[in-house]
Amino acid sequence: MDNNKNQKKAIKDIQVSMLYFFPIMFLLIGLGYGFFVEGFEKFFGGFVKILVSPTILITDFVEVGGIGATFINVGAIAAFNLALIRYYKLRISGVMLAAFFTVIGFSFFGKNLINIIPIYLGGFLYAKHQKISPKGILIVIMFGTALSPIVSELSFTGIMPQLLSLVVGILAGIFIGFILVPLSSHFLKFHSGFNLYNIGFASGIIGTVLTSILRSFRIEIAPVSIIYQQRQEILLVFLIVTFVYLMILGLYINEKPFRQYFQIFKYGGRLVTDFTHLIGSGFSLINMSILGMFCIIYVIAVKGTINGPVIAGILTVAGFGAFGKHLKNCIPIMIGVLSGALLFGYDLSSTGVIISVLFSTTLAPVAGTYGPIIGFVAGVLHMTMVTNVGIIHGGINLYNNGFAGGLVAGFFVPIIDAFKKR
Amino acid sequence: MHNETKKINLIVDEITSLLMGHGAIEIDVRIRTSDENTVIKITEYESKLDNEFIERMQENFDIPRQYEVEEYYWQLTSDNEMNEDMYLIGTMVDSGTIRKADDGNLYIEVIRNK
Repeated sequence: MDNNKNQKKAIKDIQVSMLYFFPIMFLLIGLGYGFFVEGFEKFFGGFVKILVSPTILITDFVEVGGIGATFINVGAIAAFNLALIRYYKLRISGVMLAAFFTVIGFSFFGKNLINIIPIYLGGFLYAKHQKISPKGILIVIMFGTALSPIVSELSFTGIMPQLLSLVVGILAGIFIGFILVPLSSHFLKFHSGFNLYNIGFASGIIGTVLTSILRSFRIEIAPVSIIYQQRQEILLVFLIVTFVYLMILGLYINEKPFRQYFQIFKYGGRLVTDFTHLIGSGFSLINMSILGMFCIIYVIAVKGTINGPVIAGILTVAGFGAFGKHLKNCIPIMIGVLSGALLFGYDLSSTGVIISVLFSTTLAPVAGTYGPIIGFVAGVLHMTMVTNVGIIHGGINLYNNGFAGGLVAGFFVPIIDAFKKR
Repeated sequence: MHNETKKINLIVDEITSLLMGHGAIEIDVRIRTSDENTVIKITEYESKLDNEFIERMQENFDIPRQYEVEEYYWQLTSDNEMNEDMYLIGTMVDSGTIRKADDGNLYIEVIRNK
């Protein structure tokens, strides 16, 4: 054993260029579907509608602007983030994959080019203020666009004269980007890393404060329900292509015997569990593909509709397949949420329940650390929380499940620990 | 650098907590800072750690420094007894070595550049 290394081993087997596939695919689908199926007028008008919609939860861009325009939005945001990753020469680690897939997922419902830019600006201003490199805050800001609806809500709902509204919206976004880095880091302590969507929790707190201020000025912020309800094969096909690509890429990169993949199940998944380091990048991509396919099968099994929010849920689960999630720690949570939904009389095929099940996997570390039974209970608890906390922040926090998950983890984990024998 | 002292303390806390969690009974810690870097030297006397564990720790020290991970996750502490992964520490240091000498003591040295 050589213990005299002072040279760090670089792990660079997933290249940024391998992710170019995604913006290219999104833009091609967007242009192709937009021009040849929807027609230029609907396509262009849809894109404008996406940019100027308030984007409060739940605003499905597929319903607002159509499929073509939505894919252009997703492709543009994917390209923008990849450009930043490349510019700052960041490693494609597990957390980077999780952040990238979360961002592109939520570009189907909530995030657009107008409402994310001010938050990025705020983050860069924070970095300048603290004299740190912007690359140090990029992950937080990528996740931090969870609060992008506040930019759109203030800018485009006629609360004030238009120009003033736009200025206030942009300033609000910059402010959020500025405070998000220190706040999100601080809030990790509340749940000790058992809630993977920590930014969701931090955003929920920030969103609650902002919404309370707005409501004090009689500006009402309330969730909406704009959801695409039709069945379109193109949405399912693109998901399948995505996960087949990840599987092929994973098999190409991986050089270990496949049986070693199953070592992933020994990891509980608590932050920070980076599978690209622990089991290798190849197996991480394979795990992402497996989780993605599993989610698709689940949605089809409950006869759900593949729409913007559901795509976001599937892509986010898959993204975190490189950063803490696997089937063993996700399934108990999902079964718990499903059981809760059945118990409380919810329609299992509804978009609301489906995305609650998918996003509940933010609590995967609870099941991974304490076992499937505790994970199941956490899932049931999550179902009760997520259906009640959205009104607190008024729907401006896209990661509502992350907020609920943080509350569940912060409440539940200390109780479990208190009962553990020492 | 932002929160530098707290981050140094966290690194020391994580490593010593890990050693004590595995039966360490006597540990020395030495920290030397300069304008260029901070060097942390930790010695565990009569270490009971096995080679497999030491290799795993060394793998974590070999991770390239990742400012984006550090800036976000550095406030996570291992207050949960089950978390033994030193990955976060690995992302916060520029180099690290760990070796068990013939005298049975464990010598750890990590360097964090400013």
